[in-house]
Amino acid sequence: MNMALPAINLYAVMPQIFLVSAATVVLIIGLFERFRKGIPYLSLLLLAVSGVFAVNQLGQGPVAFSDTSPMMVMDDFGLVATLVFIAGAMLTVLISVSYAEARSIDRGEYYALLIYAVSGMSMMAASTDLFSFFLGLEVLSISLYVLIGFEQREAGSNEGALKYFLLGAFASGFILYGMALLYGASGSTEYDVIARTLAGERSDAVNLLLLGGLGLLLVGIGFKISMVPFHAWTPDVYQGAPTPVAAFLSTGSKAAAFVVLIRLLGSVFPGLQMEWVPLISVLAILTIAVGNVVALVQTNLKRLLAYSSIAHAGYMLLPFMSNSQDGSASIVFYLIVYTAMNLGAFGVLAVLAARGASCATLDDLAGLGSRQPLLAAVMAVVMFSLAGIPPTAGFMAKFYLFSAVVTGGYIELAVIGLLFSGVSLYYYLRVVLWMYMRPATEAPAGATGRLSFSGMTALCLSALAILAVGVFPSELLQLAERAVMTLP
Amino acid sequence: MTDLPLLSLIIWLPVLGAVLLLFVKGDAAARWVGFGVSALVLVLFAVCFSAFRAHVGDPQFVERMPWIESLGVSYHIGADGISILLAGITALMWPLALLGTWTIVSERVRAYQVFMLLMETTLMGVFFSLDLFLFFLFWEGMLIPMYFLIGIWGYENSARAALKFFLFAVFGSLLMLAAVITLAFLYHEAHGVLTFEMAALYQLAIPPEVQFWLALAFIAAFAVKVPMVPFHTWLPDAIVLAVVLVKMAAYGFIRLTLPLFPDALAELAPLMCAVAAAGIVYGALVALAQSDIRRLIAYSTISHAGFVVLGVFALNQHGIQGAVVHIVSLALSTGGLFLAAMMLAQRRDTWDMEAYGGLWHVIPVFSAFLLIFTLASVGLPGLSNFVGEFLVLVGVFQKNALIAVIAATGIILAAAYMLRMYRKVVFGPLSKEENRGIKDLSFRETAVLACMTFFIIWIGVYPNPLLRTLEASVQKLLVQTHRLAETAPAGMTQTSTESALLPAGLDAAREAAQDTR
Repeated sequence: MNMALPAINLYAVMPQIFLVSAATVVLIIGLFERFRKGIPYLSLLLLAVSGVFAVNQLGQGPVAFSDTSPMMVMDDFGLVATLVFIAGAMLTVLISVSYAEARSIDRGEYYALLIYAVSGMSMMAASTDLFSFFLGLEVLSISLYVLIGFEQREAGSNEGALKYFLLGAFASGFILYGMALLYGASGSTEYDVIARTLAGERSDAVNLLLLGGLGLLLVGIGFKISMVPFHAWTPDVYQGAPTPVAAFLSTGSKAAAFVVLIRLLGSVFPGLQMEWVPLISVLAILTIAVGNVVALVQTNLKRLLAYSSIAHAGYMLLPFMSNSQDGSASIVFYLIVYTAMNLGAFGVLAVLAARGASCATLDDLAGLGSRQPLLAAVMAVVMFSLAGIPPTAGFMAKFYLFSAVVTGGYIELAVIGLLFSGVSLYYYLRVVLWMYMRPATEAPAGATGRLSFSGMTALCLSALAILAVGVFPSELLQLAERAVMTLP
Repeated sequence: MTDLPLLSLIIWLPVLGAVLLLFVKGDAAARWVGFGVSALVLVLFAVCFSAFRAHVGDPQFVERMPWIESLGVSYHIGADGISILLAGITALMWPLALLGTWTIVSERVRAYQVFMLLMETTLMGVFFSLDLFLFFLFWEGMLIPMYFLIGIWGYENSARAALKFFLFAVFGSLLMLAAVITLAFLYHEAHGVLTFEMAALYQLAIPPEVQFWLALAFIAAFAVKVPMVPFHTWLPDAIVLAVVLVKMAAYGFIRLTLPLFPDALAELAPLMCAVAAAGIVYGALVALAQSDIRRLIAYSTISHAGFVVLGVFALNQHGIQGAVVHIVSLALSTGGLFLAAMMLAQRRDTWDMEAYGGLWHVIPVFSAFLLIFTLASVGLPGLSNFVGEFLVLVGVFQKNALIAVIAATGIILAAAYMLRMYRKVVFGPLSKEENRGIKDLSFRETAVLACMTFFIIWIGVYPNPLLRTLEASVQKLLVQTHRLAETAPAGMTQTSTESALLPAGLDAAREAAQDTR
C-alpha cells in the first residue's frame, strides 16, 4: 500500500505552533500553586520568544503550509499582524498582574487563555482558507468567552460573558452559513479558488450565492469589530469584563477581525466591489456616527471607551473603499497605533482599579492630575492620541488613513469622518478636563495601595511609543507598507 | 555663527526647557527656568534677525531634512520677512509675559511654565514651516498647551471655555486637514509626486470650483482663531490667548489662503472684507456695553482683528503690510493693556471697572502706562497701532471706499469705549475706600510695561525697519497670489504695478501721521 503524506511545511505555521505550545506550557505550570507568582512573567517570556521567532521569519516571502491545499500561509502580512497581537498581549499581561491579584483571578488559566487567544488571532491572520479562518476565530472566541467571565463573583462579568457568548455563537453561525454558500458557489473554501470564481464568468445563481455568502461573512465579522448595527454588545461586555480583558478585547480581537477583512475584501472579493462598497460606506459612516454621538453622553469610563472603540472601527472601515495598497497599509498602521492607545486607556483604569480605588465614572478621575501626575499624564497622552491631535501617533494614523480615503476618491467620506472625529474631541477632552480641572470631591475610598510597577511600566511604554511614533512615524509606516506588499 | 541651525534652535529650545522643568523643584526655580529659556530664545532671535537680509523675498536660514519619506513630508523650515516679524514679536512677548505674570500665576507654576514654553515652540513652528504638513502639525499641536492654559489658569468657567475653544478650533482644523490632503492628492495627480512643500503647492493649478471649497475650508480654520465674527463666541471666555491667536490665524491667511487659492479669492475676498468690516463695528459696539475690563479688551480684540483680516484681503501691498504691522502692534498694545489690567485685578481681585476710580492719585505710574496702552489702542498717531490701521485703510480704500469708511468708524468707536474705560478706572473721585491702599507697580512690573511702551512708541514714530523687512516678502507673495489671477477682474491685478510706487505711499502715510499730530 502506498501511503503518501500530504506535503506540508510546518515552518509556515511555526508562529502559531509556538504560541499554542506556549499557552499549554503556561496552563500546565499554572497548575502548581507555588509557581503562581511567576506565571505572568513566564507568559511574558514565552510571548517575547514567539515574537522574536516571528521577527526572524519576516521578509522570507510567502511560504504556504501545503502546496495542494494551502490553508495557511506565512507572509509578512500575517507576521506583522501576529507581532501586533503579541505586543498587545504582552501589554495586557503587564497590566493584568496587579489587577488579577487584587481580584484574586491570578490563576494560570487566565494567562494561558490569553495566549491561546493570541494563537487563534494569529491563525486568523495567516489563513488563506475559510476553514482555518474559522478555526482561528473559534479558538479566539472560546478563550474570550471564558476570559470575560473570569471574575465569577461579579454579576457584570457573568452577564458580559453570557452576552458575548450568545451573540458570538450567532455570529459564528452566520459565518458558517456564509462559508457554506461560498463553498456552494465555488466548490472550495480556499480564498484563491473563490477569488478565481469571482473573476471568471458566473451565472446569476452563482452570483447570488457569492453575494449571500459575503453578506453573511460580513455580519459575522461585523460583530467582531463592533460595526453598527452589530455593535450593541460592546458597551455591556466591556463594562462587565475584567478591565485588562476588555483592553485585550477592544484591541486584539478587533484587530484580528480587521486583518481577516483586509485579506477577504482586498484579495478575494474585489470582484463584488460594486456591491459591497456602497454597503460598507454607509455602515462605516453609521458606525462612526453612532460611536461618536453616543459616547458624548457616557459617564462610565469603560462604556465611553467602548463607544470610542466603535467609532475607531468605523474610521478603519473607510479605506476599504479605495481598495489600494495604501488603504490596506493605512489600516495596518492604524491598528498598530490603536492597539497602543486603547491598551493605554484601559490600562490606566486597570491600574487604578487594582489599587482598590473605584474607577468607573468620570467623577472618579477628578483631581487625578494632582493625585497621580504620572498616571494622569499617560491618560492625557492617550486621550489626545485617540482624539488625533499632534504630536501623537493618533494624529499620524488618522492622517495616513484619511489620505488613503481621499486618494481613493472618497473625499466626502473623508470629510464626514473627519467632522465626526471633531465631535469625538468633546468626550476625550472631558476626561482630561476631569483629571486636571476638577478638584477631587472627596478622597476616593480605599485608594491606599501603591501603583503596580508592571502596570506602570506598560503604560509608560505605550505612552512613550505613542509620542515617538507621533514624531518619527517613518519606520512604522514602512513596516505597514511592507506588510501589505505580500498581499496578492 | 551662520552655520548654526538658528531656526531649529529657536523652535526646539523651549521644548528642551520644558523637559528641564520636569526636573526642577520649587516655584521660584521654575519661574527662572521658564523666563531664562524664553529670554535665550529672544537672544537667538536677535542673532537671527541681525543676519536677516531684508531685500530678499525668499525664505532665509532654510533647513531641510527628509522626515516621513513615504508621505513626501520633509522637515523644511525657513523665514521670510513676514514670518520673521511675527516670530520676533512672539520671541519678545514671551519673556515679557512670563515676567509680567510672575506672581499673578501662583498655582501649579511649573506646569504653567511648561505649557507656555511648549506653546512658544508650536508658534515658532507655525511661523517657520515651509512644509504644509509640518505647518499643520504645529498648528494642531498648539491646541494642547492652549487647552491647558485656558482651562487651568483661565478665569471663572475657564474649563468650559477651554472645551468650547477646542471644539471650535478643531472643527475648523479638521476641514483644513481634509483640504490639505486634497491639495497633496491633486498635486500627486498632476505631477506624480507626493509632496507637502508649500512652494510646490503654490504652483499647482487647481480648477476654480475646487479652489473655492478648499479656500473655504482653510478660511474656516483660520477664521475661528482670528476670531472673526461669527466664530468669536469662545473669545470673551478665553481672552488670555487672544493676541497669540490673532497672530497665528492671520499668518495662516497670508501664508496659505492667498497664494494657494488665487482664483477663489476673486469671489471670496470682497466677502471676507465685508465680514471683517462688520466684525470691526460689531466688536466695537459690544465693547462699548461692557463694564468688565477683561471682556472689554476681548471685544476690542475682535474689533482689531477685523482690521488685520481686512488688510490681508485687500490683497495689495499696503493692506498686507498694514495687517502684519497691525498684528505686531496689537501684540504690544493689547498685550500691554491686558497685562496691566491683570496687574490691577491682582491687587483688587475684581475686573469690574465700576469698582475703581480715581486711581491717578494712588498709583500714578500704573495710570501712566495704562494711558499709553489705551491711547495706542485708540490709534493715536505716533503710537504703534496707528501705522497698521492707517496702512490697512489705505489698502482697502483702493479696493472699496465704502468698506474703508465703515472700518474707519471702528476707530472712532474704539476711542469711545477705551477712553470710557480709562475715565472710569483712573479719573474721577477716589470714592472707594479699598482703592486707597493699592500699591503701585513694582520694579519688575514697571520694567515689563516700560519695555512694551518703548516698542509701541518706536513703531509709532519710526516704522521703517518693519516695513522694509516686509517689503520684498510681501511683493513676492503678491506675485504668487496674482499669478493666475491675471484674467480675473481688473481690480485684482493693479497691485503688481503698485509695488513700484510703494515708497511714495509709505512716505505719505508717515506725513499724514505727522500732520494729524
